[in-house]
Amino acid sequence: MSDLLLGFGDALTPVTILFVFLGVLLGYAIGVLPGLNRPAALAIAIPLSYYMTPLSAVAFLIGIAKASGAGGATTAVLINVPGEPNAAVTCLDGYPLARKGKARQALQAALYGSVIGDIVGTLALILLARPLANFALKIGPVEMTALMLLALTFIAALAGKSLLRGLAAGIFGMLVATIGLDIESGTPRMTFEQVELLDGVPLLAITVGMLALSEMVIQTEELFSQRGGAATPPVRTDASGDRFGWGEFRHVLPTIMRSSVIGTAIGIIPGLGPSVASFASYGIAKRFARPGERYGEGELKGVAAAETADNAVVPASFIPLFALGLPGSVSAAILIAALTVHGVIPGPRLFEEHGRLIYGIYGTMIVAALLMLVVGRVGLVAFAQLTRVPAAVIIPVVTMLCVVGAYLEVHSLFAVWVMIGFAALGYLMHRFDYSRVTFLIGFVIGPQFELSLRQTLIVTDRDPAALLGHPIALAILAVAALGALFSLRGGSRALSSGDAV
Amino acid sequence: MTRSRASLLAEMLLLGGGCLALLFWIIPTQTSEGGFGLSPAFLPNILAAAILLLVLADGVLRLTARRPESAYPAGFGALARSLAVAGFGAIVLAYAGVAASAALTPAAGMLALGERRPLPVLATSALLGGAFWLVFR
Repeated sequence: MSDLLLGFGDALTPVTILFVFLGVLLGYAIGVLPGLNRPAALAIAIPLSYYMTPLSAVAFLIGIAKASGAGGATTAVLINVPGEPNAAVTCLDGYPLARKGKARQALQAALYGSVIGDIVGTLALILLARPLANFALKIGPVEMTALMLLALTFIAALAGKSLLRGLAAGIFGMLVATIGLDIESGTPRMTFEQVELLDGVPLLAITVGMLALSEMVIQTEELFSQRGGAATPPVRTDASGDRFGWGEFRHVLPTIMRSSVIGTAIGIIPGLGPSVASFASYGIAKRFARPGERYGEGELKGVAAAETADNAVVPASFIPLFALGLPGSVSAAILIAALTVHGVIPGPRLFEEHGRLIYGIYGTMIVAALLMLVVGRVGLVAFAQLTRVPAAVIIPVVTMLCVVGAYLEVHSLFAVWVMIGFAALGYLMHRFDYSRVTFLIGFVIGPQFELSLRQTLIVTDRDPAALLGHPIALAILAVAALGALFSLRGGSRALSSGDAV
Repeated sequence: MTRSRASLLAEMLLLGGGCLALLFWIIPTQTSEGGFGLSPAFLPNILAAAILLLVLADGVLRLTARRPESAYPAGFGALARSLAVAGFGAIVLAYAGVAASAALTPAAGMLALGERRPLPVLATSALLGGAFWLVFR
């Protein structure tokens, strides 16, 4: 109880609120800027958090994660360009609404949906993470190994276009994580006699390279291919009669509440992510459509459904992270990087070892949701102007932030070259349809997987028949096998019609 | 444009070859016997073998499938330019420091992306260089 009060007290200090505010402001701006998405924004923001306290750093990053999703709706509505794959659903009704002179209504429906979805997801996190962590403390290494295999299979099946390539990417991430000193004997492993690699490949260099710089390469490629093409005309946001009042709010509220639950449920399952949530929520909203509601032609509920589910996913995806140490989404994987920098290792013991910090994070998440409402409401028109910033300015500036950010981690040029190398790898993986998200999640869970696997081999005495004494592990492995089978039969393609990263 | 069978085969051979190189050359030469417990090469070998199997299975499935796949993006111009700019930023960082890199990297990037108007290039460069100089001086 004292941790709860102290944690929420920490979250309400002016300094923490300031960092949440800065995160929300930056996240909103990044969400609006064309070509920058949530993972890239988080990756380049981690170096900025080096000099903060753990709570301020997480608060800052959470502000960015939440607000970048909400800000992404602006480009979808005003210029019909989804900043992220999940915002593609927002375009379906958002842009037609804007063309009808109701851009402000669409943006406010997106904002209120985002805030409510976010709060529902955060409440689910607060209620479910601790009991799940208590359960996780009771399970042994055999079950933990099975659980990690299950998470990786789900993520591989749903984050990319193919289960087999997704699994290969995740396992490759685990392989890269084995570089460094062997955890049992302490002898160097695949370090190529580089002293810098004895501690392993720097996590932040990989994160920034894979997510941010490689994304800039992809944006450059798109910029070159789009030159000469006709741009979608931007829409004005000052049309008269474009007001979002109590009547409009009541009209979309049932959709927002239903989409909050859908987004939260999808967010808890590792790998499903915001794209699936947005598409599923939109599909269900369409199924519940009343006569006269024309989805795809400018229906306010369509915008609310997509944006609400998108934002409910972010806090919900932190449930497996805080309870089990398993990142369920790329945002959660990046948060692990930030927590690790500050000496905090996510997992079931997090509540015992850093209870005050966790409750502080919960507090900052609620503060971030409220600040998102204020910043989004006040800065609606101002942020819309950012859509005019050309990609030829954004891409070079982000490239510079990647270079400087990787350098600041350990003040070493080695990290910068590693970051550039992984950017090239990330681009090639994108080109050949291998999921960068799955790679990164494999890299993050790699050390814990190796530890659990080694413990499992000791516990079972390397006898596969000993698994029969672990029915929970067998059940988890059976679910993983069934999920893989379902995915191979084409089920994943129906679910994930938009690849995240 | 669709992906040709030859390019799918080349992709499979390239990745499979990489896995074989890992299994028979890189992992054996870059790991030693730990002396006790599991060998340090145990997990890397298992993972490399698993990737090889997955790549081969994926390749065979795609080669035998009748569904056409979209062609790869043409050329590597964007990759070359982006990495050249990032590499330039790293070299400037090594010899002239953070503020100089913050000023020159965006300028180089804007020029590489075709921006030729001096005012936006100089203004971006001065703004970022100045801001980083104030923070890191």
